[in-house]
Amino acid sequence: MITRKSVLGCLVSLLVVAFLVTPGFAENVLRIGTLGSDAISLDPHMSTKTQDKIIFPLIFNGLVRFKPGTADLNSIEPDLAESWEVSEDKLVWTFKLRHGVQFHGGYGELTADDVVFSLNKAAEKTTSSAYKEYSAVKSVEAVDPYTVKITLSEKVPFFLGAVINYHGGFILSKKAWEKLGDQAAMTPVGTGPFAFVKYHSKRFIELKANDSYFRGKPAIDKITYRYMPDEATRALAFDKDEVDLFYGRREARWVKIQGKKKNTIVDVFGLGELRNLHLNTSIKPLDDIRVRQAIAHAVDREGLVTFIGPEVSSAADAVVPAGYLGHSDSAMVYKHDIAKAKELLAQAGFAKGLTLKAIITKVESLRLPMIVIQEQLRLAGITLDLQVVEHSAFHKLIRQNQSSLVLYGASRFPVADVYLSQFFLSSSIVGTPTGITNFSHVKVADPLFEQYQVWCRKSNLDYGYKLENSLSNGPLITEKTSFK
Amino acid sequence: MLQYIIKRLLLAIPILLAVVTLVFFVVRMAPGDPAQVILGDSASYESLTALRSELGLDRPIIVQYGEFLVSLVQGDLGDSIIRKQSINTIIADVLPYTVELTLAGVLLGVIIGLPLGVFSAVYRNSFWDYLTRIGSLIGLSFPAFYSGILLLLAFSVYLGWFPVVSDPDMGNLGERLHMLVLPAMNLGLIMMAYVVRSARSSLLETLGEDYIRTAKAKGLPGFIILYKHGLKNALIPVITIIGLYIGVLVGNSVLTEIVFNRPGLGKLILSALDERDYNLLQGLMVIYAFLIVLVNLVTDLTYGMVDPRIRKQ
Repeated sequence: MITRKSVLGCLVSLLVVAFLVTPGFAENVLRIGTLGSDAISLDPHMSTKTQDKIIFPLIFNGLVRFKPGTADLNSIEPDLAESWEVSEDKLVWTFKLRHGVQFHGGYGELTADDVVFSLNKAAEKTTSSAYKEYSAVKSVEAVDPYTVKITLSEKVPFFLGAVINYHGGFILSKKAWEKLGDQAAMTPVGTGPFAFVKYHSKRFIELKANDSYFRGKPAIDKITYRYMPDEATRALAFDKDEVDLFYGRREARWVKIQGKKKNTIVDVFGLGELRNLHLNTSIKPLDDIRVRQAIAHAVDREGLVTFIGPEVSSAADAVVPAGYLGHSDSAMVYKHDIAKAKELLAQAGFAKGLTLKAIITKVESLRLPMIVIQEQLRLAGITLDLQVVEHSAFHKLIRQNQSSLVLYGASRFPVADVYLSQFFLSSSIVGTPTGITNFSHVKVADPLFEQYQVWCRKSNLDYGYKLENSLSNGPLITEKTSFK
Repeated sequence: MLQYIIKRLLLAIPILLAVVTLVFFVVRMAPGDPAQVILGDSASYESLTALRSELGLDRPIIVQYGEFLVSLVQGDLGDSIIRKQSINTIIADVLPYTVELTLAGVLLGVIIGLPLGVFSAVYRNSFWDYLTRIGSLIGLSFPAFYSGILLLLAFSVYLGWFPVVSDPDMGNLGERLHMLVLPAMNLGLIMMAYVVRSARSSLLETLGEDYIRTAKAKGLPGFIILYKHGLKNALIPVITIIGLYIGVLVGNSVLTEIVFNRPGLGKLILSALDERDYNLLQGLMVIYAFLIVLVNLVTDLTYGMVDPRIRKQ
């Protein structure tokens, strides 16, 4: 049972931004041009949209945080928690909160009650889209105003991920949430360096410096976060000095052009999306391992990188993105070999070639690589009949199991188990009640999850699992299973 | 006259009903899922199903349709699925931006297009006629998003006369007008192209009529012949074209609002489509259909103002 996987790009560029280094900061106002035409929700536990996620760490804190500028789980820092302890059995976590941390808007000092409220909200299906991450949380209790005790029902590979400054880990003001009622989701109240001032639908969000921020007053006085759906307009507004920082285009040519502009820095940074080519094993003839291997040999990953541009992409070396905890760079990948691909196809009974039907979004960052893949497969005698559809239709149709090949880009919380569980675990197979994004209908991650074999190969984050094979085996699981 | 207006408005009801019915069913037939937008790519089928149920999207479509119609006759467009806000409020917030943009575009198009059309007809087959016709052809051929980018490059980035982001504070009239110029020019160019072509051909036809020859034979001055006898009679088809293409203009305002980053119904419709916010999309279609009906009514009434014979009928 298998999939053939990783094609493209461990892409370094989740967000490509350019920013003006000098004069735009007069009066200490930072003007940001972001993607999207509006906010979906300003409730950090609910929204998963990029345009919303960018703004949350400015307003909210977690109990712990990523070291600024990194997504490195090996260097997690205290945030609202000063310190924490974990029991011998790794089931009880006790966090000591900072004293004197104030919520924005006069909602008072942060206490354990706010943490209890926030984590319970994050674990609740109706109030959080991250609730699954908290399924092992048995209870969250306020021991005293500055101490929170979290009890787990089972060991969790990386529990700090649930209380970090990301998604469900953001801490909200209980008092504000209750007082604001229906307005709370669009009136965020946190403890972060910037306080929410106003939101104009389809236009912008305004933030101001939190003078009483516990790490000190920010150097920027005000942030205007403007929704600008058209990328060309964002670039023109930047040229005209109407924005100082904007969300760019994941394209090498664009990066080069912007980089040549005066007083401009183009920052291409990770962790980026990994684009996997999922081969749907429930559709014939992809149930035949030889056909899947032929496709793997036919796809030229380096060719794709050349097409997209090495400035914003690199060839992936595993099914888990580079930089994630649990990623390995020593996994086996198929080499580009057209002759071998043809030979495998002939062995599978397709000496004269075969035709596969696939659905792809019209969004260029996926459509264009898919067209390149289509051409690469053609050289091996595989005709890819592509149906290009609107983006939301693409998401719907691939979840209805209607595509034999699914090119899918995703970035997730940077631990391997999140990625593996969503894409390679049997319970995530699309079309099932618990289905998420297992488009290839594989079960290759099941043994790992059953045996808790996963995840923490870095010694300082090893919470007690004895790993005979760590996730450095990520892609190999796929291969081993496939030959059975 | 009042009776006529009331009759026309009543006739609009079945049109609106047909439009909203079509939109209601078509948007639901298109693949896509608002629950997926709210919960994101990592949501399981289970949680998506739960949210669809919470949003009432799993109920029989005919029940949803009935509820929508009941709310509609009460003047309530419902709440946005994604943002849980009243659609009436969401639309009211941005409607003034689209209305002023469209009106300014029409005004610019007519003010520039009509004299150019007349000029082109009077100097038929001259160099200036060809130039005007080529210009109007270009205006018709350019997609609004492309002409918008060119205008921004020329007047904002290089000349620095206007801002790139045309997002004015509605309370500041000066800022509103300043930020309206470029987007209105973008829309006006399209309208101008239509007006030039229709005014030219209509006037040419009129100028060939017998009564014009008679007027000439009577020795009337050219100016009087052109404006009193020619243009007045040539205006009816031009008004029809203007009325007809205001609908096209409203469509182009979607692209214009996006390129100039201007709030309005266009940006709203784009995000509603993208997010599969069925309720918001329906509400917007009701407003659009109503605007089109209104424009047609105004067009019909304008016929009467221009031509007394129609008024008498």
